[in-house]
Amino acid sequence: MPNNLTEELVSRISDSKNEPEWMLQHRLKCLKIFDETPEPEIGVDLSGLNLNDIDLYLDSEKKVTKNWNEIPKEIREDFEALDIPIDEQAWLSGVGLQYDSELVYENLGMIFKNLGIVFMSLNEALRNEEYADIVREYFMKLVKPENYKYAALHGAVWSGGVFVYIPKGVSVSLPIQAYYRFNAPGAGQFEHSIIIVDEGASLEFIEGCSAPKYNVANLHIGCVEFFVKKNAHLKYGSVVNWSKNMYNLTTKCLLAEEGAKVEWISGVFGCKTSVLCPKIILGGKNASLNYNGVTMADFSQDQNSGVRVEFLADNCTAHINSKSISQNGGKNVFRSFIKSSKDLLNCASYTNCESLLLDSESSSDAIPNYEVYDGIEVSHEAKVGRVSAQKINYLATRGISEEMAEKLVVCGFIDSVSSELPFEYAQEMNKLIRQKVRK
Amino acid sequence: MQLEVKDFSVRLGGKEFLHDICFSINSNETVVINGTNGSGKSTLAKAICAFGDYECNGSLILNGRNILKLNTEERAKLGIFLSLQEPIEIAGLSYAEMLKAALDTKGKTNVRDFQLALAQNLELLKLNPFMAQKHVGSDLSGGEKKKMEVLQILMLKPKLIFLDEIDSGLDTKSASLISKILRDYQIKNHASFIVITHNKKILENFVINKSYQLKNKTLVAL
Repeated sequence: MPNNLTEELVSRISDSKNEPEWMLQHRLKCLKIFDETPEPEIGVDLSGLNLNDIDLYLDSEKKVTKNWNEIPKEIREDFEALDIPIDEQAWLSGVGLQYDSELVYENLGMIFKNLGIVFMSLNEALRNEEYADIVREYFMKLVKPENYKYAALHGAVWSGGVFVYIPKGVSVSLPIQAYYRFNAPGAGQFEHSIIIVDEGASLEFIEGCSAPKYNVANLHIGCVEFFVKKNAHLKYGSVVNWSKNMYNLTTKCLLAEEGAKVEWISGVFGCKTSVLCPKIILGGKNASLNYNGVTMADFSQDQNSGVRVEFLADNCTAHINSKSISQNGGKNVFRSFIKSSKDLLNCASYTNCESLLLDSESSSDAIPNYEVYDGIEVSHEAKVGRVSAQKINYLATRGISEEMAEKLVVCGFIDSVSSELPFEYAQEMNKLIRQKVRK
Repeated sequence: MQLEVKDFSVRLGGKEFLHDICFSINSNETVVINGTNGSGKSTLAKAICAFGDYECNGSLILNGRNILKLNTEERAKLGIFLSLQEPIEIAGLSYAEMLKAALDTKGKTNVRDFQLALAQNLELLKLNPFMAQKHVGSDLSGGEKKKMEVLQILMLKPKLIFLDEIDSGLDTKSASLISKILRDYQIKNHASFIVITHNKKILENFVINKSYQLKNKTLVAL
């Protein structure tokens, strides 16, 4: 157990947020589980991470505000420098901004409020009479501390994150967005979000993350739990650009009920070491998943991505499309875990992995895992290649330099992923690629 | 623009493909090259444009300067353009993005002017306005791919253009349209065309200054 991870710290976190007693007890239980659980084998090197050196909670003077102008100047400048797509127009949907350990800003268009859409900090929802019981009902029910040591750590020290609820039948016409920014060296960020899309409802939820580079390690163990109810539709996008000193061990889990449709888009461009393998449970018949992910590994980066899909009902399908780019000795590993119950009918899982190696020092692996029975059709295709010299040469005949040509080809390689995101995030993804390729 | 090709030879992997190639072309001129399948017509065009890993010797004098040592990008920036017989596919990269990147190498492109020029040229080619968002060489018919090569000429405004079977895949009406568009372009921009073709339809609007046949790995004047 790290020296700084104590019951006193956990109690102090809970106390500072005026949490109900059950949450404090939950935190203490997680602390105990963390202490008693051995280090898991997760296939990455965490030797550079010393939890004793991580600030597990940064006390914050920052209160949650709904007024952009009330946010402290240095925080606003940070987000504005990142071209965070903020718009103060009344009709625009909600945006939440997390700075280090705390959510500092949220805003929700009046129209959405009138529709009963809820978008608030999870801490606020926990204290809110109307939502406190809902939070208790859903909190860490999909991501269980007993199942993963670092989920237990998260459960003990979590802070920040959002609570989103879309009522039955409501369709949100614009994306709801949350952005997380690290600004303290040696800090940990442990935001927890709960997203509930009720029956027949529809939501597009986008997350972005970034941090400047420090010389000491930072740690991110976020957690997102999604509940997509019967015949609901969720489109979830995440663009992560943590700096190269970051260890990212975030856990995400989604439960899709009958007829639920899930679109999942993921872009991971930063971190020293990242393990990001969300679990999607297709829990009701006719539920479906369409997963598109891109991961980039640069010098000294170890990117472990993947997806776990659990089939529990008939007529469920999963389409998984993974793209990875490795350069300057970077390492990419994509793991898929497909699991199905017995006696299912008419299910299918298709996985396609494509890797682009920009030099001979870099590596990429695609590792499929199956625990399935009859009743599900499964396939896995993997392809590894280099940027085609012929394509570079062709672009040169148009006067385009080799350097720019490579960036264009790589952006084209991830187009099937980036084109699924809202325009601003697709642009950000393309901008990140152009900045990072061959840097 | 003037190009003089002297004693030009092309080898690949130790094998000789062309030797003693000599011809010249001036501004506003059209040179036609034909020959049987596999005679080396496309190889000649590619080698002069430095597309591919050919080993070349001899002289390529462009406006008085030997460009033999220049790479593909450098030759393109001097105004040389290659329209391939089989256009390349680049998944995920739209024609609009490619053209914008190419124009940006000459200086920051005004986005509005660019989009206007794109729309006007697509209309001229009788193409759907959304064609510029199609990925390069992908999801297009053979004729559409060739028309998109012509779009690139109209947008990038090169001075010396190699057309390698631009008419293949084009119906008669489209071939006539392309012929007229390219001739108008030639007159307006004082451009030179080196046309590789088996089909005279594409030449119907051009004044042919010289004709050659590729035979026995060398050019024979007709």
